[in-house]
Amino acid sequence: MFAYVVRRIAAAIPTLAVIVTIAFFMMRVAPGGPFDLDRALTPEIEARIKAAYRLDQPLHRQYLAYVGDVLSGDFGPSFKSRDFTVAELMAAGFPASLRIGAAAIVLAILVGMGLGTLAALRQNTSVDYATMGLAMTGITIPNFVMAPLLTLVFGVYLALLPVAGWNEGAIRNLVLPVIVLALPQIAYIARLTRGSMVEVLGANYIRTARAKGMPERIVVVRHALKAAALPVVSYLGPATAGILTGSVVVETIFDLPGMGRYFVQGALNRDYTLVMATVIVYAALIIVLNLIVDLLYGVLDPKVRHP
Amino acid sequence: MTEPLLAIAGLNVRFATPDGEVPAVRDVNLAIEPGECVGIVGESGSGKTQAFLAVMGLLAANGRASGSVRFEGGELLGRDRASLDRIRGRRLAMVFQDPMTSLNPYLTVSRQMTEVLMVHQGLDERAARAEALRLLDRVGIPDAAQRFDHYPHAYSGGMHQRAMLAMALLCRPALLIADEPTTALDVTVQAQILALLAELRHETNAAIVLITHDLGVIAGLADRVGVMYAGALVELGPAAAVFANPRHPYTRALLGSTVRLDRAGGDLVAIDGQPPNPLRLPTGCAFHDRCPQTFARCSSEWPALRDVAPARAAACHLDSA
Repeated sequence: MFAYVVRRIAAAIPTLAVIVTIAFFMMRVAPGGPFDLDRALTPEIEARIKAAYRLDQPLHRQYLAYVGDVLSGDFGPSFKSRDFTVAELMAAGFPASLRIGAAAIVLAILVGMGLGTLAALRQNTSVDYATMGLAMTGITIPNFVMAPLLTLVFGVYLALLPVAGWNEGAIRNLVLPVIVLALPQIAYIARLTRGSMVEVLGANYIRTARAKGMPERIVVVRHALKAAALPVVSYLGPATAGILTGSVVVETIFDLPGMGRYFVQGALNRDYTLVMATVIVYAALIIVLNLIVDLLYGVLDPKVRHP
Repeated sequence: MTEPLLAIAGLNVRFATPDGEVPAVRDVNLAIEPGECVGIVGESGSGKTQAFLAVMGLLAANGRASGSVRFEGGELLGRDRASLDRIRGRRLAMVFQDPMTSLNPYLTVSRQMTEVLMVHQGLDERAARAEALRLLDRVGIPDAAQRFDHYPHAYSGGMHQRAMLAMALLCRPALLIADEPTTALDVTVQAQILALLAELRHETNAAIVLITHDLGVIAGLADRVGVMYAGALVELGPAAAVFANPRHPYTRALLGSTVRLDRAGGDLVAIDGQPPNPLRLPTGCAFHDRCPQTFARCSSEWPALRDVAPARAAACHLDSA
């Protein structure tokens, strides 16, 4: 098991190297640059800026220098947010995104799997149709509609929750963004769970459990849930990476200091170092989460063992 | 006369399908006494499995059972889940046709066995493990102690069925329903499982319902045999008597189509025609259009199962003439 984890992490290094390389050169192929402004700079100033950020060197030298910096833990200065290094920006944004994202994922798993199981147990009844209808609605309503809607109802009309703001991460401020972030995930997980649960509940070994006189609670929780959770676990790997790295829409609407906005700002501003850092963080998260998914598979399914 | 262990009366099972309602079991009456072994034969789709799934309360969601199934003096049909769960697995047990898919692949064999004793008898985990292991060893799992905590995928097909039998017998049920217990196994393992079933029967004194399409299985084990055709019980009697002198033309045809190794050569005998589509059962006797001895009354009137000799019953107009 330990050897397996080490092997998987070792195998991730070339993957990351390829991602970094492709991202670096694609970013440079894109037209425009971080210092292209509406008003033209004097050639002298432009040359000095480019020299300061090593942009005057040939591309392959810039690449090698950047890789060297990253390997020594230096993600470089932000090209746009002067006075800040990229590492500082990430350190400021990631904890907020992580906190909201983790809460949303936990909420989505609990509610989504609960609703999906309920719908499967009441298959083809009004409970089933109502749950799956709601889930479909949850998937189809985009978050930039859902967020203002909930804000209007709970923030403005009912005045129960703050409309926006971080407020040092107070629970009251997190409720609405977490719900908005979790809703589509709840809906998706509920549909996944229902589908797999319906299939599992029709299996012969579930009939055996019932023939043994096991109460429905044991039949569902002990005999069916593990198998029914496998598709959800597969889905959660990449989904979690996306949610933990923040959502620019949710962070903008609720004015939260997460890192989701860096993806967009960095790309629009051609903030080379910031884009590279977000790519690296995202890729590393995907790799780690997929490893966790595979390890979880080993825990859930006895036929999967990691030598 | 005291009440039998299991008394099935007027049992009907119907399935709602998009094509209409399918009658899978039609007016079955059957009484089973403590300790006896009753074989139920019939071809696929004759309703033999559905009749006993109805007894267990395990019909598919679109199935409805009506009539009466009394077990140890209490009605089983229409019982609520909680009180049914106090009977299933404790007094009334069932093993299924396909042992390879009937054990839960996500739980160890020990877990699947001990939970039965812990739920029904309130044993603690240690006592339950000791008793479960004793039974697993009894049914002939080699190195049972070592295999006890394995997952089912480490078991062979025969070991699956042995484990299923051990699991079914944990609480010493009064009635064991064995649905095609040997069909999915290869021939040598079949013989072992049948021998085990016979041993266990004498040890536990459980009554056994043996559902099968294999007449040889019945002959070796059953005291009485019931023959089902198109959802109805068409003949019932002592196994030896039914085999020696079948009263219903279908039973006769079934016996005539048995492959016998001691009379090699010659063609295989098949019953002409097809089993009827349960959506469009013929009027009168369901077998009349395949029956060599059919006459006018057969296509107009459904023959009920009636006594034709001491301890023997058949559902045929020939016998009431």
